[in-house]
Amino acid sequence: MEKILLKMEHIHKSFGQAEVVKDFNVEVKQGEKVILAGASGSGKTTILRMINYLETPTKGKIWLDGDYIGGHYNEKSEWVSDSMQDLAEKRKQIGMVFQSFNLFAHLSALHNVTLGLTRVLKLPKKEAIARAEHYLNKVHLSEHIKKYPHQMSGGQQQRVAIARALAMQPKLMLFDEPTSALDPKLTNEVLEVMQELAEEKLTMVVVTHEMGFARHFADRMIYLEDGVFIEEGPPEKLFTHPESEKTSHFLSFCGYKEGDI
Amino acid sequence: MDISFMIEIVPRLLRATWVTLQVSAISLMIGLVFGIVLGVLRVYGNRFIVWCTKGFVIVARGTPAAIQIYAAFFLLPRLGIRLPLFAVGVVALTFNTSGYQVEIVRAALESIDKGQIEAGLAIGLTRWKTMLYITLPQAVKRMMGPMTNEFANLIKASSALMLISLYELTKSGHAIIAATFKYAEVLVLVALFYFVLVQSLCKLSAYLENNVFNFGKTADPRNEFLN
Repeated sequence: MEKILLKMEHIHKSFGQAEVVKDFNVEVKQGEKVILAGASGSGKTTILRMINYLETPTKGKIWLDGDYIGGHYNEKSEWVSDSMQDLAEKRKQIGMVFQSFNLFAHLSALHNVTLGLTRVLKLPKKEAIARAEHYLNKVHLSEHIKKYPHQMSGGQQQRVAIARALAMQPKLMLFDEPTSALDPKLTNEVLEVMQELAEEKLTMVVVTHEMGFARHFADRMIYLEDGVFIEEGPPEKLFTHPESEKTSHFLSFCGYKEGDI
Repeated sequence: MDISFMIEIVPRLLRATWVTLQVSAISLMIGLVFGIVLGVLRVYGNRFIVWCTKGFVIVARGTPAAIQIYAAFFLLPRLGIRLPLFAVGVVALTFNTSGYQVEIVRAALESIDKGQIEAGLAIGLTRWKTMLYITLPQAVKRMMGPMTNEFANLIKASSALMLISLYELTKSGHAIIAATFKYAEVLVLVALFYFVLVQSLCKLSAYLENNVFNFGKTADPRNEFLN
């Protein structure tokens, strides 16, 4: 069996009175591609953001490749929260791609990628540029490296964002609805790049509404409703023989009916 | 109007303009350092620091420049700080302008999209480095407009330094009027000199905003037609 890379144990998250994630558990193996699916407000984005502590879980622990994220246990088995420095150190092992791209608006595509390489990984400038060019090439953007975010299409921006995350050579990549802000043509550009990454054994956790893509991309699909885990399994199984009524109901809105092949 | 008289007093007013320019420019520079440092602390500091910067802003913005100038002139010596007149002027104006600049920096920093900060954190930058490399550079462009306003106000506020007899532009004009009673000629020239100072500053600021802090040549859509 492949080794386990990510564990989320009994995760709860509340915003004020509203509990948006309730006792969520998952283990992700090295190289696995996991899709989080569910309606808007089902808590999937919050779960993704908790993995790199952009949201702090109200309860529960997250573990990545040997270390807890957000803190650690000291010799007396007491929980000690991470400092900003510790947290930054752990976050650099996790790449994240956002729904709204969030490219650094004042930097060119190339410098969006090199910033983390020079300021976080402390690579020499030359090496950083070579690595950035390599990853921008990988997302098919070698002709656009000098452009600023506002000069690029949404699909190009999102691919720069993917290159920016990949260049850090993270252990795990998180995608938060990476194509929700794009039209079908641009969506396709981004999904193609993700598909290529999938073939390289990169571990990915993806929140998406692109069910057609999810179906052939993912090893495993997790379905959530109102912050509660409903069921998981290979996407094919969820699409054709879901255990829960809720899953089949949701997927029917995505153009899939129980028994569809 | 007595044109030959006006030409005659130009050199005197120019010397005083030089004092106005110096006292404003030095206060502006020191104020900019305080403004940015305190503005950043106002956003990123702990609760105590935020409380202190808020207090500073309330006092600096809430009292008239004239009172601050008198305070510097009369109170500093009582505290055992004896400064030349020019330095007293710089202290008072710096105090005054810093109060406004803190708020300009705060507003610009807080106007940057939270997603930019999250993207910085996500690649492993600390909160401070995110501010330094991502938020602040973007905020500088947004500060330029309000900062130009503030600097224009500062140059004009420096005229209140005549209260402590610092021989700047307004004081110089006042002295000439007292000796000659030629109000119109002197006031027109003094106003013109202030106008030239402030206009040059605005042109410089517009140049900086469009060329130096222009992230990508086509940030201004007009440039697309020029290329």
